[in-house]
Amino acid sequence: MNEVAQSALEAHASGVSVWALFWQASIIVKLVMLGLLAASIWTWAIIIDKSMRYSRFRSQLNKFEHNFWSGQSLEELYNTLSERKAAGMGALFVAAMREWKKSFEKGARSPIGLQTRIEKAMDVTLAREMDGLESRLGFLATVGSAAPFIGLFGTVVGIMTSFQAIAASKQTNLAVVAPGIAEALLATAIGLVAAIPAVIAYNKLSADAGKLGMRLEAFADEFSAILSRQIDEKTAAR
Amino acid sequence: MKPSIAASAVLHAALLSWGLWSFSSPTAFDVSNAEALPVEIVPIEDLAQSLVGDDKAKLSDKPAPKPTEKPAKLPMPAEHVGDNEVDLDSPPKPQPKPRAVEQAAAQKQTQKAPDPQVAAKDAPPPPPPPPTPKAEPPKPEPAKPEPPQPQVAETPQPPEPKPEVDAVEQTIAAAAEDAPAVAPVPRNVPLPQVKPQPPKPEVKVAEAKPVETKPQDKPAETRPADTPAKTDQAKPAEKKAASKETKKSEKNTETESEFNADDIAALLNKEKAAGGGAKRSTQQASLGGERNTGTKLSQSELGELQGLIKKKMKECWAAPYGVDSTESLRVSIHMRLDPSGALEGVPSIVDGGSGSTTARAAGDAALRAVRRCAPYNLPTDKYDAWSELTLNFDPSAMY
Repeated sequence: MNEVAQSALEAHASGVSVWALFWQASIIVKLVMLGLLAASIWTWAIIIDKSMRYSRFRSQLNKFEHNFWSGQSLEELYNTLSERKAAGMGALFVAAMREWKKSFEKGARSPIGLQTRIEKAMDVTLAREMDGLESRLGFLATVGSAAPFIGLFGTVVGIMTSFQAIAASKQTNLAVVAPGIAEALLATAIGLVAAIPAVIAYNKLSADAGKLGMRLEAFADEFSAILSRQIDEKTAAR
Repeated sequence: MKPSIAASAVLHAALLSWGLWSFSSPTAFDVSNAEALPVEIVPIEDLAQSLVGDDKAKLSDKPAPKPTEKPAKLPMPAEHVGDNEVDLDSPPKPQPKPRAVEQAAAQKQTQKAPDPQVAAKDAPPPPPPPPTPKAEPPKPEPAKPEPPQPQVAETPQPPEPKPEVDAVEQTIAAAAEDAPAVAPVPRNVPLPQVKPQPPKPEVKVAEAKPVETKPQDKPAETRPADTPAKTDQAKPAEKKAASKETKKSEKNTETESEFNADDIAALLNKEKAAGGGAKRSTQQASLGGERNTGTKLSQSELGELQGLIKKKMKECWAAPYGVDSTESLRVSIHMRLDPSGALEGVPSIVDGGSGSTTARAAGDAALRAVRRCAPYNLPTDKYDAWSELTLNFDPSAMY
């Protein structure tokens, strides 16, 4: 009995570094820690990816708006944009222009139907763009809310096992008790480390995505108004 | 997405490696600066119960008193540690330097001291014979202070004192065996015990006097001294004559010496009252008190002792009855016992036994009970545990 306690004491005393604490942990706590680490890596990957994509998207929108309001003819703009795969406002513009061209080339009779078709096409494109913008943000939200609980679960399990070990060794010395509890608390620490950036990034990125979506919607409405006026002018000219 | 995953992984790897490196060895709390108060838990038994030892020595595993100066073994069993010849209960105390004047007398007396005791122990009849041998020692002793004297014949005697003691015992034994006619005579005269000593004062007086005068006195005494020597060899019949002679000489000395204060001093027991016991010790001294004050009793021993006292008390104690039970008639009595189990001093009421008449009656009853039971037969080897007792008498617990 005494030897067991002694060996337990030595094992605990051997290392108090983070690495030693991790290796001393039980398999459940280890799995929790590794899962939280993976979640943290994925969270940060999403954060990096999204912030880069949003900044690129924003710059594309600015560039397109500049081109669009520069007085350039819609035909020329369509020709330059349709050659490459456009995103954002470009995609909306291309989708609307394609529908417009198809209708007029085949000589559509009803201007109201054309208007409706163009709006539908733009809505679909807008939805696709918004989906692309907001993809994976849900994961951030999940990590932000669930990671602390997962870490807490690891802590509870770790403290439980360490108390069982204390009961078995029949020693209440703080030097024996402390390493087990520190090891258990490490799980909660990792959970918080993963959750805090996830929550902050989710709030920031979803707000950004909302702003970008608003800009796209505004453009779609504006462009739809322009096309509607063009349709009216063309039908009146006929 | 892939580049961002790679970037995230690299970021985490960097963060983890930095974290592992920086948190790898948290510095231990520096507790050396904290003032530590040394707290020692001292059981009260160490103070309340001590074993014989030296109060200046270090505590050792084995309780042992200060090593005594005379390691020789005594014929009799001794319980108390000390250098004394006689086993006394009192702890040893440093001996004050004796006064110069009395030194010679004290020396003589200490040398003689064994004689009266031996004489006293053996039998009452012997005392008479001792006078004759006792008369001898004075002579050799004066010889020591007066080496210049020409009494060469007497000087050989000094080595004899011990043989003389033997001679005394022999004569005592012989006298005891011999005609009882001789014995009665000495019994009638208990004085002889006193008389043998007068010669000493004479010697002192003689010392005070010019040196040469003594030799003249002594020759008169030397005759009795010679006679005992003969008696040793000769038969009891001669002893009678010798005793008669000594008596005569005693009478002479009595007439010569009037009251002398030194006589009383000579009668006194010269054993130091605080001389300690006679038990010898050669062991390294250990921390302790002057005497054993704590005898640890096991629970069963304590219970046995309590049971003995309780049983005894039930026999002796007539609890006051016919009183209303609302009043507490509990009486605590403190008493001291001597090793024989007899009461030492007066038992006193420590608690209760005062106030109303019934309470006083209860107190008196308890006191009476303690006195009536008086010789308590308790195990002597645990005397330390029951030398002082406080007994609680409670009539309500009786019925």
